[in-house]
Amino acid sequence: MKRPQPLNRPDRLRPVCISLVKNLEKRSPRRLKKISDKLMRELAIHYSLKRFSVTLLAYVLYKIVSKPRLISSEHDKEMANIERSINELTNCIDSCNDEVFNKTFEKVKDYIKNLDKTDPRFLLNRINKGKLKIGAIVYAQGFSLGRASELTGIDRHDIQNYSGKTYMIDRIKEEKTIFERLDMARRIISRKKE
Amino acid sequence: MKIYCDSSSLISLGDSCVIDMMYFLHDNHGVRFMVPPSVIDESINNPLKKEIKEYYASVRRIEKLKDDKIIEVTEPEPDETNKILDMTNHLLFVQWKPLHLVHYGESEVLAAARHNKDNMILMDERTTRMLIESPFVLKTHMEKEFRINIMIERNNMINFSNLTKGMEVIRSSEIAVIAYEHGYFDNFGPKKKKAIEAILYELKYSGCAIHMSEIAEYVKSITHKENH
Repeated sequence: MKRPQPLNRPDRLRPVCISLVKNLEKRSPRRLKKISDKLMRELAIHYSLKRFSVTLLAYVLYKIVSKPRLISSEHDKEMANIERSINELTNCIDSCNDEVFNKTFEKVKDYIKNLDKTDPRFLLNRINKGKLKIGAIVYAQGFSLGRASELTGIDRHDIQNYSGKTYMIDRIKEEKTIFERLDMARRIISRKKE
Repeated sequence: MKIYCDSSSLISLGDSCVIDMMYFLHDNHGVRFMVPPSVIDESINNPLKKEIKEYYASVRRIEKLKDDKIIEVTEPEPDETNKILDMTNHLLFVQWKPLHLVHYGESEVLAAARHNKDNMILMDERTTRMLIESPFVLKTHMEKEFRINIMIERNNMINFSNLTKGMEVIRSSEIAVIAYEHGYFDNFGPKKKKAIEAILYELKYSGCAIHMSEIAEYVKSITHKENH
């Protein structure tokens, strides 16, 4: 049987950022996806604003590197800017307060948006899709819809729809069946109004 | 008879365009659907404030329910809501840290339903429902998801079980089936069985936490009844 992996130490995000830059330089979607999946899986249990932002960043970087159009040589300058801004983030991540972190993270986001100036929709969509995916994972893992919405800032309507369409909520089979619930409902809603 | 609704069910029914079932059950069977203020915020005010146009149609349907007094707003004691919120968020622990499982809105539904004699809740959202019905299954599921041991705070669990004792939870799928059994789909004629099946799938895709196998089992059972 596969041995359970220990969770990352919640207070240490610097090694994660270093590994993001390393794999971004290597243009390795496989490695970035692996990091992104692991961060998403562990986010809810060690939630912090910084951890959430880094998880989102890992997802967006994975999506960027998966698009050959965005990693072609014509985008080398923009990619170098992204790498530099993540390095800046890495240097302050474990020591700065949330305000400084947010400012630095916004810079990273701006460079990411600049990657495709002619049509930034893909990148903007990836950021929102990343948040939505995180919200749906948090809900599927066992947190409530309201809590998932609170953690990600995504409307619960979006998370509910996404979870329904992706079958993510089917991961648990409930003990009560539809027939047991129907019996309860029939007891209450049985008589016709006089 | 009162049913306390969570926003998740209103959203599923609104998105699936079958919210008229609530009018049907209200008008023909005297069902009163009650909601706390946070449900109004979550299902109507927030999407409008955030200008999520995709959901405007669904929001307007829910808003009309409120305007037509099919859903009635009831305000539970804030102290009671906070007590439940605190209790639910100190049930499960990871490495001595409590897991904040539930949000204010969901606690408010429980607080509102608590003093009602019938204690019936309409909730498509799975986590709060499982906390009421089978918290140990939820714990095991989370342990599997996070690959880590999760501890239960015994006293809080006992208190929470006492607090939710007798509460019965149904989903929008059960509302659809009950409406079907009382003739809501009769205008589909011989195709009414197909219609209820389609609606159950639609509700599932709108986020009602019902398993595919449950829908299949239910459809099989009505086919069986018809054949005998």
